[in-house]
Amino acid sequence: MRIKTWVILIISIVLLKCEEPINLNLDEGIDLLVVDGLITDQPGPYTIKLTRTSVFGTQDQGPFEKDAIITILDDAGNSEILKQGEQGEYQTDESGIRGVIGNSYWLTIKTADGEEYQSIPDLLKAVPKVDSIYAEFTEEPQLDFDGHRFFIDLSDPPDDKNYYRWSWESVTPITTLTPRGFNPLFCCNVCFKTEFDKLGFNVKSDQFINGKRLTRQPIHFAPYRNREDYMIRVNQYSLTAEAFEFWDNIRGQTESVGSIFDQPPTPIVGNIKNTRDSEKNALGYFGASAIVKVKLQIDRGGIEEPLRNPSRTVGEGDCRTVLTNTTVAPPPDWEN
Amino acid sequence: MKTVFRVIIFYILVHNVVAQAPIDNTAKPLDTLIQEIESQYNIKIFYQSDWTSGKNAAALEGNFTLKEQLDRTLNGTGLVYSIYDKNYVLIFKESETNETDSQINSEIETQIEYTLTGKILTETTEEIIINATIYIDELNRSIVSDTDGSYNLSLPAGQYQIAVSYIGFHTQRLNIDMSSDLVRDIYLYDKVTELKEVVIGSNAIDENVSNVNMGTTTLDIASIKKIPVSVGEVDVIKTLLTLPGVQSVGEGSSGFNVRGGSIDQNLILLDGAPIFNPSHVFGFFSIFNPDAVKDLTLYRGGIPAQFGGRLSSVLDVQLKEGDPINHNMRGGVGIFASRLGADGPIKKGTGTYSFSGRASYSDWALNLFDDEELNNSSASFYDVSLKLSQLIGSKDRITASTYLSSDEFKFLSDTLYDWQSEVASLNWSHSFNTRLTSNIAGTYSDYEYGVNGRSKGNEFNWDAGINHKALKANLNYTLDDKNNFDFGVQSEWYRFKPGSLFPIEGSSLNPIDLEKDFSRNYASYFNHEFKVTDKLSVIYGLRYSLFQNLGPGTVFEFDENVPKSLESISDSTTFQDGEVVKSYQALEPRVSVRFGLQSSDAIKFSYNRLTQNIHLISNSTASTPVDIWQTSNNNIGPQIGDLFSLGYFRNFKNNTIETSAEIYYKSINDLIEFRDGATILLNKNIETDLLKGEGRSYGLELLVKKKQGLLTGWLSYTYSRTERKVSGPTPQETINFGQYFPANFDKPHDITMVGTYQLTRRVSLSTNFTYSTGRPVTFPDSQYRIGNLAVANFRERNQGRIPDYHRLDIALTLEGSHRKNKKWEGSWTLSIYNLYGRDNAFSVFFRSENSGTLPQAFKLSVIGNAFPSITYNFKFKG
Repeated sequence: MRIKTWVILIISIVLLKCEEPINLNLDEGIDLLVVDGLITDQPGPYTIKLTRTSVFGTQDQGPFEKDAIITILDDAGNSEILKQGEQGEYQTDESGIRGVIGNSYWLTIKTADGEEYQSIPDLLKAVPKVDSIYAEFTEEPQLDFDGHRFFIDLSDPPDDKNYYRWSWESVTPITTLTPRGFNPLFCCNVCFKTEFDKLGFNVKSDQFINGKRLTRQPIHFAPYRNREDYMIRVNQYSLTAEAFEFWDNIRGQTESVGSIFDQPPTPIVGNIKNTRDSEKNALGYFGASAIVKVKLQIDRGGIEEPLRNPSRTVGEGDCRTVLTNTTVAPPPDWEN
Repeated sequence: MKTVFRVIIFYILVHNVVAQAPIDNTAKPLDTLIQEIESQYNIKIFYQSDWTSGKNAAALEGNFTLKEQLDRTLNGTGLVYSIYDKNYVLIFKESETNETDSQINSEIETQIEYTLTGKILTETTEEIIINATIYIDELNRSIVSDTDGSYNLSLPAGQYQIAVSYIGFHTQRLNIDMSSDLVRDIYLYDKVTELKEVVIGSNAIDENVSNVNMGTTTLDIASIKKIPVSVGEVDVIKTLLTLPGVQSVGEGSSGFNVRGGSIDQNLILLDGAPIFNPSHVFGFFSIFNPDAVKDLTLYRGGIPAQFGGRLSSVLDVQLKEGDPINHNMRGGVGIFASRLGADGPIKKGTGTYSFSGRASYSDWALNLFDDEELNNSSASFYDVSLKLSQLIGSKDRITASTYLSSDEFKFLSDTLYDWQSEVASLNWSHSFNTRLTSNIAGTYSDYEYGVNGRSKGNEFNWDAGINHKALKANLNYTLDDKNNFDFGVQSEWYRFKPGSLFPIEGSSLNPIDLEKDFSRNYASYFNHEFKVTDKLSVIYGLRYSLFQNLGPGTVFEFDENVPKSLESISDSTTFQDGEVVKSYQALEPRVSVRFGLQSSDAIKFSYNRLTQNIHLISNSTASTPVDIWQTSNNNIGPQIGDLFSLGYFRNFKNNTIETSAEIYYKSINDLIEFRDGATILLNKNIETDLLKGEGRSYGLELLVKKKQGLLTGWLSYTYSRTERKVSGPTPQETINFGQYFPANFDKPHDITMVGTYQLTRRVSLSTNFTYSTGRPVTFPDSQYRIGNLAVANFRERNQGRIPDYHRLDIALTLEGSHRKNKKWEGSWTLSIYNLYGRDNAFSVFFRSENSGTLPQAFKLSVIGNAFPSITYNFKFKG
């Protein structure tokens, strides 16, 4: 239901809805621990990232939480203490704990200042396979460029309530301008650039389709600005009801804002409790998911539609340093 | 009689004769003789009976003139008389007049009479009225205007109240001081014009002070039409927002909040039948067609025992009845919609009809935009009403009314929202005698709403609704002028349709059909208005209600120690059709006390308890057309509200200026709040997402109102606070850590100024200014990252506020001036909403401009510019 969009319209009927940035003097809030991590049925290592909240509106990411002791446990009696890495990241051993469908997982955290946290166990549920992944070229008069919309179909199991989350990565060749003047040593101007899903909250419940096919689930939009091939890798995750609610609330707070019918923002309740003081519960969610992976590579050479706002080249100089997340060699799953 | 007598004796100079004839042997009592003279000469004689008692005089005989007869009769009684204006005779005691006789007689010739002349004209077209009746109260005498509309009266010096009347026009009353010859043109108000309603009102002129009830306001549609509070269409609900204690969350939102109550706590009645959604186009307009409405009364305190079922207020809207004499048409053209209506007698003098219709044509507005989404969308609404009334004999009266309202809103080409209200009522009142009247009413109200989704692969129809039927009987008994009683019984039946989803062929969706819920409510009440002394009056009453949630259906019980969820269901029971699932009884006392201090001021107190068993479940700031009506059941109990108010009321300048100061405190128990992150739509176990809370609100309301003169209007200031608290047994069932937090519509300071200035007889200028504290919103406490996404942490609800709200509106109304054409009259209203174009905030929200970047604060304004509109209204008299 597009409760938010109708309103934008109705207000526009009366000409007059407008949005403008506003400066607020917000109080500095209470400092809380933030936990971001996931255990899956795929091989480890698994990473848990610990940070702290920062003042709203500042650019910094928030301080990393160092020297905490994190333990992942399951209801089969396994447990593992994570090793501290850089930038607030803690990792399991490559040959250590591994998620198993049907087990529940939780973690305990003891921070350097002595606070203790424990997450509510999250069941690692199975996830059905993706039936198909496909792309459709669509004209987008609203946007600056046309593009491809990627969809997947899957068959929802009839039992049980199921919840899904999807994330994507894309790879496409990209060309930088060669610097002026001949330089025989110049390398390189063509790279494979990987982009990541910055949102991560593409979730869906089977409330309305239980036991049927879920069709045309939107995954990604790829702007059509050159005619190179485009590859997308999709992870499909299983979720518990609680994890679904967490991600769906993040989605709501990020997307469904700006109209008079939106739900006012509320705290996004995670599953990590402070064992001593509930007002200091950590933010974030430690979840357990099964994953299935699919990929699709499309050929954009044969599209008749002209490019709007073409970008054949980006930046100037060595594409490995001018751009981030680039490689000269194609990734192993790239099809020539 | 006595006052008339005194007035006349004081002002009228006497022509008296003292007769000396002998007493006839056929004597009769003087009283009898006077009556005989009255009837024989067709005159009126004024006297005091104690002067004549025990006295006799000769019987009437022969063909005497009146003068001769009076001379005969009064001879020897010690009484004298004077004849005034050929038809009136005053009888005095001899001694009172004797001394001044000569003096008086000398003045008779020079001072006795002045002339009052002029014309009788219609107010709107200034046309003359022939055969209008001019009646002088003091003399019980009338004349009619002649063929050129003029009249000529000779009146003795003095003060008179005269009444000028003509069929189809309102009777005009004037006070005239005859101390010289006067020329006075008198204007009559056409009954069919909008001015009609200005005059209407059986309320006493000093009602503000004399009425026992407090917190009650009646607005007539004519004054509503002049107040510029909305865009493009006259809107009765927006006008309510100018009253103290009435607020809304913001522009374009549906409904209104009374003294800290949520929008579902208002009982909105249209000729007695409840309305469940009073909004067109999501709340931009109200469904009440201004042409169809006669008046509306808002009870925000002192709610009589006749009303029940909602906590905060009763809005009683009355539809207009037809003209009993002439057939008329009326209508109007506005920028969003047009109106057309007709009314008149069915059978002259006993039956009337009144029909009104309104339809929008707002689609064109969508096409003004260079935006494909808007061009592919459409919004439309219409409403129609019909009211019939019929007198049966002199003791019975039946009225029937019906109202239909429909809205459609298509977003792009794949989603259609629609909602409809169908309302009907039948009312029979019978008067057994002057003291005892009964009223029996049946009402029907049905509100259906839905969404039709047409996006590929996900086609569906979703619909929901609520249906209400009621039978009510009321008996009113007036014991004497100090005691008035009402007794009544009411039965109501509800059917709730919480929403069903039907996929259309080709859709991948599953059907979901939520069980319908059934409930009924029985209520009985009594109400006693008791004037204890001249100064002290009370109204007290008691209402008993029995609310029952009925089968069929399966209900769940939940483990009490953990948050309600599907996992915590401990038991389920299946009920058969009509079986009682759960009953709630309530006793609701209502008390209003008035204590008059002097003639122009009073102190009033009122207390009421109300309970509410139907709840609108909404988790958005502004109510949407997909909000669900929910019955009380075994898991959701009634909301209970107690309101105490105390006020001081005083009128000035002969009741033309009213002032009042009221304070109130309201507490609400078992208020329904939403769990953070809950879902409403198609939720089979909605109780798992509802929380019980408490509410409290208190405030001070000050009002000054000027009712007469060229400038009329009011100024009000309200200080109020409205807070909520949700402190459940577990953190999941708690909001804001169990502390009180401000409700969405908590706006502590509120100033409203409404004024209408009558520039000329045809031109009036109205303004409305309003200021209020910005409403609370939730601000982020801090921010954090999940993956690549920056997330704002909204820790505590409603701790920030949006910028303050203020706005000035202005409207100019030009009444018609079609002098030559008597049948057609038009008027124009030009208005500018938000005259100085303030960019008032509806909300402040936080959003990332690009995916993954930090959310930023934005201000959302609904109407950020001055918005002009123009409306043409007309009427056509048959």
